[in-house]
Amino acid sequence: MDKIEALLQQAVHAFSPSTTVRERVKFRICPQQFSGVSVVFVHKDGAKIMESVFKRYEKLMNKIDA
Amino acid sequence: MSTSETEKETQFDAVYRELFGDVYAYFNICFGEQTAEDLAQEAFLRVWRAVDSGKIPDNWRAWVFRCAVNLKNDFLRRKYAESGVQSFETAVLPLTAAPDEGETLAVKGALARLVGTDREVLTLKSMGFTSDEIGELLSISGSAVRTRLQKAKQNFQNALETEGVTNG
Repeated sequence: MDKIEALLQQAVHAFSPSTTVRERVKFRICPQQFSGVSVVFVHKDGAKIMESVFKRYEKLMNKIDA
Repeated sequence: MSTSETEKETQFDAVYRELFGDVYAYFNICFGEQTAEDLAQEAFLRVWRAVDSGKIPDNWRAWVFRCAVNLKNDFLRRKYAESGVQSFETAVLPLTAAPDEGETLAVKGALARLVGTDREVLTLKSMGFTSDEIGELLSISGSAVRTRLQKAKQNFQNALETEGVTNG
């Protein structure tokens, strides 16, 4: 690959999407991948931890959609 | 979720992971970030519909980029019909503020200085399409693509020099 081609690849790569853009577009196309009902059986002490994890996950998904 | 739904999502994920970056970059280089996101989303909605309906192409890359070029052409028809602004053959790309630095910013600027048709063929070539494949995408002959590429590459080299990027 000559120098010009290498610089061209560098230039094209500079126009690539950020992770935020990738996730945002994917969420719009396939929101079902980011939400849904799952039945999880946990020990009673684990229930509060799971609730906290899901709430944080929901906040993160709302930020991606913004 | 059924196994077939999971299989569809797995298949879509694989295509998305492999091709979204290039498709977005293609639209970004043609039109800028805002339009790139909208058009890339539309292209991958079509991918999702194809996966969902079971109509799987033999070559995802060629299929997705055919969609991308069609979307580009549709966008150009709408945009220039509505506002009569400078056409794709002559318009350069206005760069928005970006966190790029040094040589990356300069080479990005050099590519943005080129007119739309030059940016397009150089981008497709750098993404690995042959001249004949580019010709099929753009509905022109392979030899016309080679001629365009030669001129575009020279224009890019001139733009690099303007941006202060040396060829050494």
